[in-house]
Amino acid sequence: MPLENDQSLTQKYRLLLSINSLATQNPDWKDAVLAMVNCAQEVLHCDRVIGYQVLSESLTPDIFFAHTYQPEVDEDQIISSEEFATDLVRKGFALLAPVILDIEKPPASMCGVQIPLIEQQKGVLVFIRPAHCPFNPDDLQFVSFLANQIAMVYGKACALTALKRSETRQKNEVQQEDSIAFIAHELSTPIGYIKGYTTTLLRSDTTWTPEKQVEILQIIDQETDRLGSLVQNLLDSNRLQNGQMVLNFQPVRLDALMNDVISRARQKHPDRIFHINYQPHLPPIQADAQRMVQVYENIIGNALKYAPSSDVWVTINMVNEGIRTTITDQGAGIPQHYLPYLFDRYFRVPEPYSAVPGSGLGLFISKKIIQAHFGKITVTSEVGKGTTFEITLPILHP
Amino acid sequence: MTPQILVVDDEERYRHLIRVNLEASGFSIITASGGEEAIEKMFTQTIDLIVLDVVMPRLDGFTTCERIRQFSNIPIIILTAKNDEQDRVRGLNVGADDYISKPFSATELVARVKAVLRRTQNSGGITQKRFFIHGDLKIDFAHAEVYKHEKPVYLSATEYRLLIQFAQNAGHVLTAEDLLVSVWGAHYRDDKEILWVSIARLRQKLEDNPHVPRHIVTRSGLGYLMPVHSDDLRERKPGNE
Repeated sequence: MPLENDQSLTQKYRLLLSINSLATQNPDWKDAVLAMVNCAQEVLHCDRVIGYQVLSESLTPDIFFAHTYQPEVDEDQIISSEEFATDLVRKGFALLAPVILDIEKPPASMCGVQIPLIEQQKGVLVFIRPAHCPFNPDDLQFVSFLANQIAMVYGKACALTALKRSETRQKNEVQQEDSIAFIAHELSTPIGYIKGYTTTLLRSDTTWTPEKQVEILQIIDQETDRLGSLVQNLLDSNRLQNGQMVLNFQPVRLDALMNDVISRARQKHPDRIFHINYQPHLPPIQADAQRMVQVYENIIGNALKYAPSSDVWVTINMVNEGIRTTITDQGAGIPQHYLPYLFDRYFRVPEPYSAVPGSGLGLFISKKIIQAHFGKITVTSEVGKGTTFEITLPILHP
Repeated sequence: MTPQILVVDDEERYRHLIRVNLEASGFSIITASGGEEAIEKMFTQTIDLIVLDVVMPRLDGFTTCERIRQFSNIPIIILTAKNDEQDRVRGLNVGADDYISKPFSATELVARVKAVLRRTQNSGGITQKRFFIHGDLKIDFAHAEVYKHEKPVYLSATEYRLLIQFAQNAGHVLTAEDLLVSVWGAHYRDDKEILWVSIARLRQKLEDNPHVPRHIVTRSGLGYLMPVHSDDLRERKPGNE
């Protein structure tokens, strides 16, 4: 070994230090590798650096990194470097065992090291230099150091990706579990009532007056409906989630549609008051009538359910963007911080509404349906004042 | 007298279902829509048995049951929503006498209520005493609060449970093991130091002079007691009697 003076030693240390700090500081592994190789170029003076990644089963090298300092692309060089890399892997050199291969008719000198990548993967880093500048043992030591640093960066990147992936998977699993628990709970409530009230009627140790019988049968009927609509909502929400819901577009008069919905609501709730205000001569729009009825029923139903002592105001008007329907109640309102989640699947505003039966699906389904109509649904609410839903649908689809 | 049953459920329809069936079987029913309301009612009404739902907002059934057990042995049947062994075991562990899993049949409900009443041999309903008074010390069971000279004393949950043990067994000597098992659980049976420290802390908070305790006195070699007669206050050494 040639004696080195202090200055050149300091210089080498500085170089190693900068490579090492590039390895630890750069968040993106590819950027880090490129920066490190660039830095190493100071002593290696290569034409080209190619990094290969080899899955142990295939043995076919995959380029994971390449950088060239020579403008001309020498295909021979690339092909021979590939053979060189394969050879390096196949021979199964110990990690970091460096080899120097001066190819017989050398278009180039090559120096390769294995990079200890992760688990099943092996990596090879090949440095290519003109034939007249062969690599010496010092270069090899240096290249080994570089390979170790690259392995570290790459390993960390892989571990981070794996961690992120498993975190996402876990989160999804938790969410899915949550929703299954939610569905089970929602379904079990009406089932519990149906079971309880049916067996009440079936009791052999007591008799019920005809009025009591009717009262109990009405509850069973309502709970059966509730179970049915829950199942329907679940199916709808699932179809919407998977994009399987087919809409049947046809010209629809929204005011006529709304009138139907309100007259049915009045039949069911004769004590509730609706204030209606439609702009005259509204044009028909392209919509799926059945689905729009579902949206209107849902929002009107919510107003009746969650604002039990309030009137309901309904307006339909032309606006620039199309036709706007607003549905307003003067109920207890929804706290501001819950509004962003209102249209989320399974979201339900907690207190004081948790006792009101609901699936947390109605508004989710409504929003999906409105979106499928190229429209917009928004909500404004003030605690103590009431809530307004606003649905805007374009007359012509974009 | 018709037994009176307190039905506690946050869902109106369940309260109705249980009321309809138990009334038809000759029970008289009062209802509460939550744990706090139920505990309040125990101090004003005569109650023979409680049917308690587990899934309730705020104070859930388990916590309610635990709170009730701090001052009352009234029979409790819990309604578990899930047919879940863990839930049933937890219910029994916090002091429930029986459980019914939702969904349940009306006949089962009535049969269980009758069976528990029979088993617990309740000698007629009781109105719970809301306060326990021991000299200058007052425990408000309804709110799990403790007062000394009418000023609130802040106890940790464990300290409160420990104090309740003494209040419930006033006049009786409790061994260290009794106290460890009932307050901390069976695997703390031998952990005497934790008890010494807790009793010292409790005395610090409750006694005028912790060195001359009047609420929690030591019976050397036997255990501790909350004295009911002034006679009990004398520190007796074993063998002195």
